Amino acid sequence: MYGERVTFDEDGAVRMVVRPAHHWNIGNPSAALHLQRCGMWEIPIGVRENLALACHSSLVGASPDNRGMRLRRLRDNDVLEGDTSLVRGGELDPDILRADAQRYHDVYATYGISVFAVRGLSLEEMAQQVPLVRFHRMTIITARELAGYGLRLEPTGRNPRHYTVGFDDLEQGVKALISCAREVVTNPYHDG
Amino acid sequence: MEPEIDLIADLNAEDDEGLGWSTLSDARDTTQVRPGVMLVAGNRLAKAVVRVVAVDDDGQVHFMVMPGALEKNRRLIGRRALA
Repeated sequence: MYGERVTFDEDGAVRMVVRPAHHWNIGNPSAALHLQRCGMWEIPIGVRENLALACHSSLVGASPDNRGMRLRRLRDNDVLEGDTSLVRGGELDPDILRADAQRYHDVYATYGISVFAVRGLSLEEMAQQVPLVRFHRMTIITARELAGYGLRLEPTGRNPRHYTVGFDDLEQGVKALISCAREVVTNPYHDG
Repeated sequence: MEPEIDLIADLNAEDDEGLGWSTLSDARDTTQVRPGVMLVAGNRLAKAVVRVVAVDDDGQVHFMVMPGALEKNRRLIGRRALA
């Protein structure tokens, strides 16, 4: 499923392409898998069997070898339909998006912005809960619209509604986000 | 008057456990950011009183957003939750 960037050497070693700006020492195949999923490239050295095991794991965690980099837990097989609405508290302010994406990068070494899929609960219900209740305005975008601008939707963390909009270039990613067709609504449950 | 922001954060952001998070480098005073302490987190789009749950070695700060309006929770700011 994510294997198109992986090659196997004859000795069973796993190799991936390196993005020049990053030179992490990843010796853990599950970490490699996470990097693939995030669209990031690395050269972990492992064995085919270990990678296969990692592919079946629902937990993608950092190993002690991965100092200076934190990995995210990705929910397996959690793919959104194109017409699913995603909501984010606040309007899409480029300066704030840039700061938030940079903060994400500082921790996870890739750019990301949090959104919530409107599923399982109505938007009205979600708007009454933390964190959306803290926002006076909410921005709604479809998954299809985000994908159309080349943005990744990563199912991150335990909250089944939480997704990270991922991208590799800060300015291009922010520009793509603010180019998306979207609806901005007032949150009637905002409690100040 | 609204209280100052102690920790700049995106209140949409969740860590893997569903907690809010930011980084120590976004704190107004890093010495105040300790587990159990209540402070104001957010940015100009949204603010909330939060309880710091953990501060990791790499500077990631995990917090829980307190229910209720900022104004109602103002009295909690700076307090340390009982263990």
